[in-house]
Amino acid sequence: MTENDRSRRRFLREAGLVAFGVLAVASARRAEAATGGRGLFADQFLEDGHVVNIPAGHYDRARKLFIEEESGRPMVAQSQQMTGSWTYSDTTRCTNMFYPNNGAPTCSAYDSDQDSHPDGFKPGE
Amino acid sequence: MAGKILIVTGEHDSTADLMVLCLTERGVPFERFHPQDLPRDARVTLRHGPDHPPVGRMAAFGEGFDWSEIGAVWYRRPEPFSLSPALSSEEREFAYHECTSVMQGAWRSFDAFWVNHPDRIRIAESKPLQLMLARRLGFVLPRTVFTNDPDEVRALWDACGGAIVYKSMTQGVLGQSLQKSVYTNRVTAEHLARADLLDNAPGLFQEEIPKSADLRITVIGDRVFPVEIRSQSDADATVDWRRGEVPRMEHVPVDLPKPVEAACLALNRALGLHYSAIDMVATPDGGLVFLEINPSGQFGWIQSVTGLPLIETLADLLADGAARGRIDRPYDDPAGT
Repeated sequence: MTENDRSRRRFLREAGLVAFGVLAVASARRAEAATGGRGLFADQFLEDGHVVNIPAGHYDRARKLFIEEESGRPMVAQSQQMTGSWTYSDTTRCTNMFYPNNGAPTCSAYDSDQDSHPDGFKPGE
Repeated sequence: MAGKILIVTGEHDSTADLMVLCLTERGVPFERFHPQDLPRDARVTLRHGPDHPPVGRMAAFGEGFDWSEIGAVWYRRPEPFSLSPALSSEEREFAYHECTSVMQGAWRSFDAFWVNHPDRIRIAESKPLQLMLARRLGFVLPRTVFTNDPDEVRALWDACGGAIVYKSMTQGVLGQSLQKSVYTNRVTAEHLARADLLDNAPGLFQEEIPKSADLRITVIGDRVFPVEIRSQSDADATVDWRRGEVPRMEHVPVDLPKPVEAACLALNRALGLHYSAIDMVATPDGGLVFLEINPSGQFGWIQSVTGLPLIETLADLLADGAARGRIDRPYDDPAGT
């Protein structure tokens, strides 16, 4: 019997079982077992993240810099002194846009490009 | 002109701001683009046709640039797109993937010198791949298990005399609020008793390596900047230095043994990276153990506390890549150009 034949027979056998609901029940039991424990292993290690409160400011499109509102100076000068590695980029936690908070994205898991860039959260990264 | 540098990041990125100050001071032409402005405040257009090569234009708030102006890209830390809150969750998901697709199309369609191309970053962030390559290049590695099998974790625990750590494989945050983080942690017997939770997600488990210090090796082009972080003097930072008051820890530029330095450069080359931050451990007996490579790792604070010219070196690399028309494609060009 060729591999194709075996695959075809397995498919037909499973199709038959599904027709009687057997496979579906088995799958459901597996799913139930897999979600029996609540939470994640990682939950045991959750701790407060570093949060840096940045002074009021705005992004200046002409200068291509973030500017501190009060002094009108680039924020980077301040942040270097204030926080070292935890610069103000660390405070802009990106959004999990599938779970917006009151319409505003709230940031955590990214797909695509941004999943590679959990901006600022891991200061050492 | 085709010699501009493009910085791809978010509005709040102090390291990018340092680069902006550096390039401005040098008079190097550059653009800064924030994918977070897409799709409502930024426009991206890619035109393809039978009688011309691809043409790309990006603009935000009315000001933009043609891709033909760009010679080098620093793909720094873009933030997610700003989708309309008026969309349903299904619509948001669709819009998000469409935005992702057009941006990825842009990154992949136009020639430039990349530090680093996002496709290279995505591949390089795979920790199993990193360890496989690092071993082949001669780095010393800790015993490491990626698994959702509790028995495998217990076996590692036994093999290491109970000295193992847990790490996340991807982001260090959990939860929508992002107020909670997961650093590297020692795994205790109590933690191990809940290994059944691996049914819900796998984890990275690694032999804990005794440290005399952490080593952060910033690789920019063919230059290597190793810095020893004296993390062991901070009780919070003994297992994971990121947990401590990093700027207050002593940072000391050091020299690497030549074979290790060569291996760092070779690892970057193997992954197609022109920039990376490599984490290693210096052991009490003088050894060096590889932990991971971060293709988009932070480095602004290292310059801040050590004075090493990291921004300037990266600016040199980008400017040189743009000026010389270096091209770094994540695919094989069928025309062989």
